[in-house]
Amino acid sequence: QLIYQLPILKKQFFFEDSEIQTLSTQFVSNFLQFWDSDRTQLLQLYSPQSQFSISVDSSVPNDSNASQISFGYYIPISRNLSRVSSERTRQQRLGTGPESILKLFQNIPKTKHSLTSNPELYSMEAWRFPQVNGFIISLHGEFEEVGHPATDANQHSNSSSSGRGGRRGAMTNSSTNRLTKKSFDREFVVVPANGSLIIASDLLIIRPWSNHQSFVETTITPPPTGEQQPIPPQSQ
Amino acid sequence: MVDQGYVKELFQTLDKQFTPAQYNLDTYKQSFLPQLKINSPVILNGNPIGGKLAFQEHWLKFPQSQHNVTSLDYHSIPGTGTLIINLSGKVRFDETGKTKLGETADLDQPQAPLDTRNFWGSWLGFNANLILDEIALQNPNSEVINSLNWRIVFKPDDSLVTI
Repeated sequence: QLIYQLPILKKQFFFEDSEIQTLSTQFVSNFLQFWDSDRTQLLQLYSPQSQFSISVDSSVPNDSNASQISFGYYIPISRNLSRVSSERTRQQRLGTGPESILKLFQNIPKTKHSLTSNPELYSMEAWRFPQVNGFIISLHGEFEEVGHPATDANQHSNSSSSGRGGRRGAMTNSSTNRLTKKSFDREFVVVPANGSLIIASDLLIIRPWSNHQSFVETTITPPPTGEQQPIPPQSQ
Repeated sequence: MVDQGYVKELFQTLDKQFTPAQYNLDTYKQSFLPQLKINSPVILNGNPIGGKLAFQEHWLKFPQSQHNVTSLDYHSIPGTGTLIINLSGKVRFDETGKTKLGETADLDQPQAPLDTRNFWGSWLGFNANLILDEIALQNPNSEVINSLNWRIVFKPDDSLVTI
């Protein structure tokens, strides 16, 4: 008898408490609805200090075939710090405040998520973040790209100061930018304020599409070593 | 500047191999992510594991692992002294059927002599979120991690490991 099973149960969702569960599930379903329909409606959730950036990671193991792997729209705005070493480029690709965040949003293809109709394709953890009097939401799942972005960042990269960006831009002209299904991991820092919510930080990873098998909860008995403990109170 | 090297080293602490000559059991356990604060919550695949000591105890029961971080991004949250990190990568597990201490699931069986050879399975995809104190930039090895969330996001069909 070999123990190939990891000594933890697989849970599709984790919420630290019922208040966090209510806030985060409502937040995510509303957010994705506007993300798919009209991203400008989301700007009221971002303050002048709020930050957003996107990272492409085409090397996460996945279920996609080669023709599905097309990241041309995202590469010119990707801030993946393991690939982008220039401090200046890193700074340029960090959106701070609603205006610069909207520019990045408009470089991202139009999308369709199916959280409401197919919740099994998504996974989420949400827990408190006392230093900001708020909480963190980590959301994992997939989306379809259903339309080309409002603005194509590749059109600007030749005129940008970054020669590297320009060269990549040349490789990724729009004729090779196919719209495909992709997977993502998105982390929000959310702060309740005046009866509303503010997104202090929004970090989006885009990766090649994977199926949702890794979210399907385990029904087999966990090994006897799988005891769990409640989450401890956090020190401020 | 939080760089790839720093985050890579954090995850390498999870991949340390037990060698009785180098570690006793306690120092081995304590070598897993020593930068966690004592009450920092750790969540693995949606399970709240507890704080630092519960996590280190629990991680012993995982098979030997290899993490490889392939994307990394972070924001500094103004006025809080904290950094929030979102990262992804690949991880694989030893498939010889033993925990890090060389134990098999069969409790009746005498413990197998420790054999440090690994039989690596296929790569899985993972995502992780860390909250660090900004002081990590100056004191990378002090207790600077406020929480760790770790989830497998892709498992290949040929993987023998059940997640």
